[in-house]
Amino acid sequence: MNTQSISNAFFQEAKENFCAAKILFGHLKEEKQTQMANDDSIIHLRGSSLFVLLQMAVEKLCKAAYARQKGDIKLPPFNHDLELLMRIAMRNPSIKAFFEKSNPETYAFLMKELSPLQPSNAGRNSENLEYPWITPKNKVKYPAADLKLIIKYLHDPYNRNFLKIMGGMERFVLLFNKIMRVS
Amino acid sequence: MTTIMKSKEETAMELIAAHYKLDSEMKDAKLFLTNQDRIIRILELTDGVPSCSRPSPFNFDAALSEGVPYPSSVILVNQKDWDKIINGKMKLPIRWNMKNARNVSKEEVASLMD
Repeated sequence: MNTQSISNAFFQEAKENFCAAKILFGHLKEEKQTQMANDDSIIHLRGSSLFVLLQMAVEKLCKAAYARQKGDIKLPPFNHDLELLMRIAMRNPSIKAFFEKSNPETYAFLMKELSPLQPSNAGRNSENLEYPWITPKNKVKYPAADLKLIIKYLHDPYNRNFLKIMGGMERFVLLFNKIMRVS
Repeated sequence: MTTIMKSKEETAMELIAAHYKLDSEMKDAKLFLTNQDRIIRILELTDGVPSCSRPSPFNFDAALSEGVPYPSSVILVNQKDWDKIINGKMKLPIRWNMKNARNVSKEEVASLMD
């Protein structure tokens, strides 16, 4: 076992997650356009899995970057907390330059909106990305129908907010592609 | 041609400045320098990281192409854990000796953040 193979494994899985996110995003855009063209008064949006995939992709990218070092074996932290993992990535001298040049909106989205919804952060009784939850008024809610992020990002008719996020993610993945080549 | 390498302290200050700049929630930093090894150790107070039972460092290699010729090691803690460390109720790993720690405020490195 070496750091390169650990890092590469995380990176390949991250790319897989991001590729699936892009396919799903394209599908959701098409579906929404069809609904709007049909003058459907209720636009059904099933985008919660898109956020799960993004969360998984970024988590693995951060872990790949951490493991991608030349010294002693650096196992990535066994942690799903995107906010912590992003903060660690920012402090990696090999990639901090990328963060300095990047649009902070993507990172704010990942750290402040997505991270608290990761199931281990959210807990059982509050809104989260993957599992149903029960409100204090005993109502059962679930991500596909009740995730506020869907309203905020995918209900925007032109997807402007989310396009920015996806663009930022694309650059994030490209950066890691570069790191993987040079190290 | 002689290459003058940056000192450990100079590099540490640049790193801390970069961390303040990138992490808007970073509030304070303590720098641990020792002659026993080349590693730059920094304890950072930043909100948004989970509490821990035992602080663990994240270690980074030197990155010459980025102007960082020394390996570094960073511990991130939130306010609650920071207070415990300052009050001696939470221990840091070996070589992270609070007696040798130097406080580095955002103001001190502000000129390096431009």
